Amino acid sequence: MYFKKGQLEIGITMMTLLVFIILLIVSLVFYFRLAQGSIKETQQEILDEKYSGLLDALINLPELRYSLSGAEKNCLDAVKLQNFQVITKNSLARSEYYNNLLGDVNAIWIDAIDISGDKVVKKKNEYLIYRNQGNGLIYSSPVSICDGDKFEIGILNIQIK
Amino acid sequence: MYNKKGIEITFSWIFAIIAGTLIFLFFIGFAADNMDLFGKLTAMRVSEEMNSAFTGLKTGLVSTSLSFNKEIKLQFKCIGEKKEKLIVGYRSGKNLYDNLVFSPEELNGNEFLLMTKSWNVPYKVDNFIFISDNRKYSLNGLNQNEFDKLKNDLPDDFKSLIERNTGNGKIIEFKSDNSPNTCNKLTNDIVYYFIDTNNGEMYGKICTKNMENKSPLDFYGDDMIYAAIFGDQFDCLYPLIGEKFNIMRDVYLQKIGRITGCDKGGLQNAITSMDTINKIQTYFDSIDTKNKALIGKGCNVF
Repeated sequence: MYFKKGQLEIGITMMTLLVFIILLIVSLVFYFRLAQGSIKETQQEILDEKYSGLLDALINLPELRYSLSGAEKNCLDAVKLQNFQVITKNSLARSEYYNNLLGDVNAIWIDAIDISGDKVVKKKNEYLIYRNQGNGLIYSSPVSICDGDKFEIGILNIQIK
Repeated sequence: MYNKKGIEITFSWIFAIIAGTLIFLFFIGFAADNMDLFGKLTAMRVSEEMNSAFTGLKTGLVSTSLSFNKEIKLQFKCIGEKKEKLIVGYRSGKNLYDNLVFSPEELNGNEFLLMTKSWNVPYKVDNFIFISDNRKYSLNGLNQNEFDKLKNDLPDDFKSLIERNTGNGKIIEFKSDNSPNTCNKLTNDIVYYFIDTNNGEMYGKICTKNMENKSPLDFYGDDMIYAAIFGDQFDCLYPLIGEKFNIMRDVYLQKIGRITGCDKGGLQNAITSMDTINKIQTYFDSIDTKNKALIGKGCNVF
């Protein structure tokens, strides 16, 4: 039994095609795995930027910021912090406004830091600002809190879905 | 009769074209993703970073410029009520939920002017953010003193953009008169204004070109006038301004409720009564005076 020249050449072409497709699939798999890693990295970078921005936004909200004689001070207002949950749930439209602003945030709270002498005590959940159900990644930033003449240091935390 | 050799040549060509096209598309895709050929990634980054920058501008008063390496198109579009979207190029959009950004609807260039102004009633409600390119704004109908007052409150870069009665660029007409009950079809925005004799602030009503047959919008303070001058979004962002106004009113009523040891009745009543923007003029000075009196007694509200 023997092959005709034409059949042989078709066989060679098919083999070439097969090898090409295998190489193509291998390179595509390799490329997409690399790309996936890069996408995840970029996604994490964007999320870090977004939530650092949200921490900044919270610190700068006039709803939370302390002011004296109309001039804003560089600290959060203890009384405003205590009232914030009431303000956000005042109406359906208000809840929607804050849901849009806070997006996929589960919870916002401040742990107060109490420094007396050599002791540093962290008072957890001193100010619970916003609460939904769930667990998730936590982003934090140090803040100062003003309450009249009193001054406190705290850690502002946001928990992401 | 078949020409087998002919079929073989055609098959090789088809194979070469398909294989070549696949390889070519693969490299084009690779280049597009990694070199950001169509600017998609840049646009996404720019919109994300601009939104973060706007958020950072909520405190403090800033006058600066935004510079980009290449020519860029920015669009600040209203999407329904209370929502503004930043579109960079034609590709990436970002909702600016909480930031009140007033600018022409479309900006082209590689450098834009930016300033912030705090809207106080007299407590701070929010910072307004203004963006413009080098286009002119003609304020028609103001007398020289009124024009100078508006101009002098602006940073230098923005001062050069506004002119009086020249008719260059965007025209905003000022009428020291009562507004009609509903806005007419307009070619230019109209500000119906009066001057608060206590503090020199302007107040009144505004009709924009988009408000035909709608009720004019109340304003108080130069900052709101700047919003109408520099922004094409005044009427659509107005409900958001109103929402922020109500939020801050509630914030201070709640805060007053928690204050003990001082007679805060007068301030509480004044803030309670100032429930709409058109009542700011009536209660502005009274609230300011009463707050200062409370601070003197060691009870700070704002």
